[in-house]
Amino acid sequence: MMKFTFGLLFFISACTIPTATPKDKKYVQMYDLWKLNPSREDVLNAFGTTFEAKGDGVIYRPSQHKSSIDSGHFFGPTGLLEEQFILISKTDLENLKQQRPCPWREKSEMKSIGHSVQVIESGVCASIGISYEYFPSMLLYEVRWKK
Amino acid sequence: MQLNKFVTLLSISFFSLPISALECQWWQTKVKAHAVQKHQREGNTVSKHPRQEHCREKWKGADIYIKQFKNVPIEGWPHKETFKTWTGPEIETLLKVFASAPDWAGLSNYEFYRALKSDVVSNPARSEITYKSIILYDSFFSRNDKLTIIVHESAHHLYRSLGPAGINEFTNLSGWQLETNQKRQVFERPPERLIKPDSAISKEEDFANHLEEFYRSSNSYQKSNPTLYKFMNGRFK
Repeated sequence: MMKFTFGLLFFISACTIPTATPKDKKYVQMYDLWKLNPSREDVLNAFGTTFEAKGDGVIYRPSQHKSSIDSGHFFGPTGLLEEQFILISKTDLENLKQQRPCPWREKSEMKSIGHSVQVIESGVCASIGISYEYFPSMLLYEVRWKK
Repeated sequence: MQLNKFVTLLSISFFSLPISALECQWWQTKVKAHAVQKHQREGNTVSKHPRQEHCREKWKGADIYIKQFKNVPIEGWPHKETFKTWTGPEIETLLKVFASAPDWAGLSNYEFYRALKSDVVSNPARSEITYKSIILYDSFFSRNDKLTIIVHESAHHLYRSLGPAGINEFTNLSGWQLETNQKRQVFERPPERLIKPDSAISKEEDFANHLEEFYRSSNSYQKSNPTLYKFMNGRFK
């Protein structure tokens, strides 16, 4: 009976609290890790040691394109994650919104980028300190978590 | 009696003249009905046949491009610039320029807007990427390199068509590098050697300058930028 109750509780909690698994995309892992207030060690354990140190943080570059950036993670004086970002496609952004619902406040604004002009989409989900903005030169979206 | 006969004859001859009801537009020319002689076309033999009277565009693509000139401002335009309406001579100037543009420039995909003066000194044109628009300023019409300017503006739009993989390839070949600054913001570091000083503004501007040079002086571009020439030549020919 006790075994059954524990199993049931585990099942319910697994259904209601989304947690990332190694199979999840990196942006989902970052989303879930952010909520756990992780340390530098936790971040490096999750995303590997092939990083580049940058000031008070680390950046990861895509293995095929060393001139680009995949994600960045920055730590406060206590060594806890203070800010992180990832560059993802529109499809991945939509997946993230679907898999980890958040009350987004979104807008589109025509902006001058260098010598050209284009509509830049952005969004904020203040309750968990997450925002995104279109990064036109890479045709990607920068999703950023900040405390 | 003689006068009556003359008037009757005149009426008969007037109404028996072939009168064309076909009205052509100003960018078109009327081609009279004629017999097309037997000829070869794209490897096929076209037999002799009659051709109806018809209107033909004076400049290649004019029938398509003519629909792309807009006389309204762009909603949400972020610059303090004044839009204006096109004049006939301005449109004619552009139709002549467009006729010699390369197909890969994709001019039929864009809308063309007219504005008075750019807020960037002596800037002849600007592009709005999301809705695929090209804005031409007064200074454009006094320039001798109109086609090059149009190709450069097209390049701003073509940058997007490269897709993420193509952009990564251009980034690697051109020497741009994504970095983070002290404020933890992502920025792009330009390569030390730039094709034009204003390439440092953005990677998209740099790409537009490269594609412009690839088009304008292909041979010297191939010598000075062999890998990027290959990249451009594989996509824009």
